[in-house]
Amino acid sequence: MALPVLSLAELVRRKAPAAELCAYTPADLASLLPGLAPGSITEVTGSRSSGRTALLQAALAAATGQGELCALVDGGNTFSPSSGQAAGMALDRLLWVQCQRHLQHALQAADMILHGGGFRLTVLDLCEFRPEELQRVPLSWWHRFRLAVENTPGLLLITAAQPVARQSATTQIQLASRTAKWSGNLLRGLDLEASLRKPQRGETARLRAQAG
Amino acid sequence: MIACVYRHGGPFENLPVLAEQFAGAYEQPDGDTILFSVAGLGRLFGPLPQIAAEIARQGQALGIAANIAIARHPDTARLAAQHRPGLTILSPGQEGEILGPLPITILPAEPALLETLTRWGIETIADFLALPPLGVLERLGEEGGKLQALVDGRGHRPLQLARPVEQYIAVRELESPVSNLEPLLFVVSSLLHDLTKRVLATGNAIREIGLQLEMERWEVSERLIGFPSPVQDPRTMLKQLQLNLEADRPRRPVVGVRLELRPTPPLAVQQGMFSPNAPEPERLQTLLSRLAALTGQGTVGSPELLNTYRPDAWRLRQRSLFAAGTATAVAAAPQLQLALRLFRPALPARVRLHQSRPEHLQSPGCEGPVVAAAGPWRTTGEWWAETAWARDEWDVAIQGAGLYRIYRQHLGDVWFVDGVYD
Repeated sequence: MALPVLSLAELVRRKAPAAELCAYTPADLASLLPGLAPGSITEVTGSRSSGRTALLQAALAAATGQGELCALVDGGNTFSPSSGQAAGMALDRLLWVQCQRHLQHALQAADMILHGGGFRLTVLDLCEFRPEELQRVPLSWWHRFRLAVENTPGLLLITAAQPVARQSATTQIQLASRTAKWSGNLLRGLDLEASLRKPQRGETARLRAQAG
Repeated sequence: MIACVYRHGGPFENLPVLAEQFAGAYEQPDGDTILFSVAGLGRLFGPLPQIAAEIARQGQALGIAANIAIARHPDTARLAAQHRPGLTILSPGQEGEILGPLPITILPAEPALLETLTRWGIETIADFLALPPLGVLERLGEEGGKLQALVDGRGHRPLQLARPVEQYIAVRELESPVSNLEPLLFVVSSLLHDLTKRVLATGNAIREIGLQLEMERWEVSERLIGFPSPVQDPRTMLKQLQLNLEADRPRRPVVGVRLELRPTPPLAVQQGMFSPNAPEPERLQTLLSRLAALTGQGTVGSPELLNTYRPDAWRLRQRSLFAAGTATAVAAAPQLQLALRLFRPALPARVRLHQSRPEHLQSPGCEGPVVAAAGPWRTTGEWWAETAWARDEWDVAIQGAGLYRIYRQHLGDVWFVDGVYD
């Protein structure tokens, strides 16, 4: 069967207009990533203590602070509400789904939320799953998520130790910890380094996550 | 003509029973007073004094000790019943004459107006009625005019009839026991649609569904499904019932179904033009139920911190998700705050100390020498309850493994890894 040939004019017509970026990223990251694009998947990857959760909570704080309803699919039951509140999240605008370290449940829950619609920012936290487990997830899941958020005002933020969504992710940020800042008998913060892996620019940004 | 019964003894729950013996509908302004029309009862009982006597007789039979008054205006009848003992018949035109000796202070009026009348030297209702109506209206306004009309028995007011609470219950006994959910839902669906139509006809919505399944061997399974936001769509309710039944299937074949809908006025929400989008309440309700069916009850909702110093103290609520969102902060670039990821349950750990400070940590998932540590931060509380805690917390940096929060639990002197800073 012959595939239909589309003219350039038709392709341009079909292309969705560029949506305004949501300012859900911290100011230190603006040079690298000024905001998150609606209708897209963004991946935040890194090892433990690399600032992944700090970045997610900053995004959730910005979105819930604007009155938006957000969802957090917590694969490993690690979300701390008091930590979220300290980061500025409006907890009453957050739907928290605890998946009891069940990967299939986490994927299904994210799928239900994305297809249900109405949530501005959906966070899928897969940090507590081993990379081998995540690599076994069929690619169709990520593709399905992409179709669910495409052409909607919703955003999907996935966080894991390593990239998982592959072609379905529009943006991928890699985080790494540099040094912890101590002052006397207090932990003051953590210096981080962020690099944009997709679209790749070879640039990095320095961030600091302040301790509460 | 309106009769008023003012109870001063006997069971208050018998007042509506008494009223229903003489009229199909009644007004009950408070627990001790009931008003009903006696129009047309003359053919049955005779003139008004005989009607009043019959009401008193029936009241005595029900154990009610009461004053009874009959007047044209319900409020005049109420006033007379409350302040004149026994039976009082206020024939048209005689209201002022009968109520006249009563003090002015019994009138249902604002204290300021009564004070004005007292300052004018008005002591009784007869004094008040002697004032020219036009002058009262000019000086005391509409309220004064209404008050004078009330004691004079003028004017008219329809009774505010008390509606009996309608119950929406449907019961069906099945011809043969049903084991599968599909035929059971078919039966439930038909009952639900019929009941919903009846509720919607009254302009109400549904806030709760009670489902009672009668099973073989006289076992009964009861379920109560509440909706944070009232619903009117039977499909949404049926989906909730389906999810509930799938999560907790009946243990035996079902032989009977009893469905009850509890109505409430529908939620009227005017969305602001600039308020953020949110899912429709009915879709959100279905989503929450489906998520709960997937991950388990008590795992889905909006976290609410509890008013305690106990670590990790929160509860999940769903109602707040249905409220309209309002921006609580000025849209500015968010600050990056170091977050804590908690291990639930906390990971047991072995900690080697050097000069009372952690030197080496060994735990599932993180192990290594401690390169920096801050602490100890001692917290204790709720010693009077089962939720008591007492522990010394440390923030430690493990070489090549990250920043962790660990603690020593005083009870048993054991160490745990509470979470990781991320």
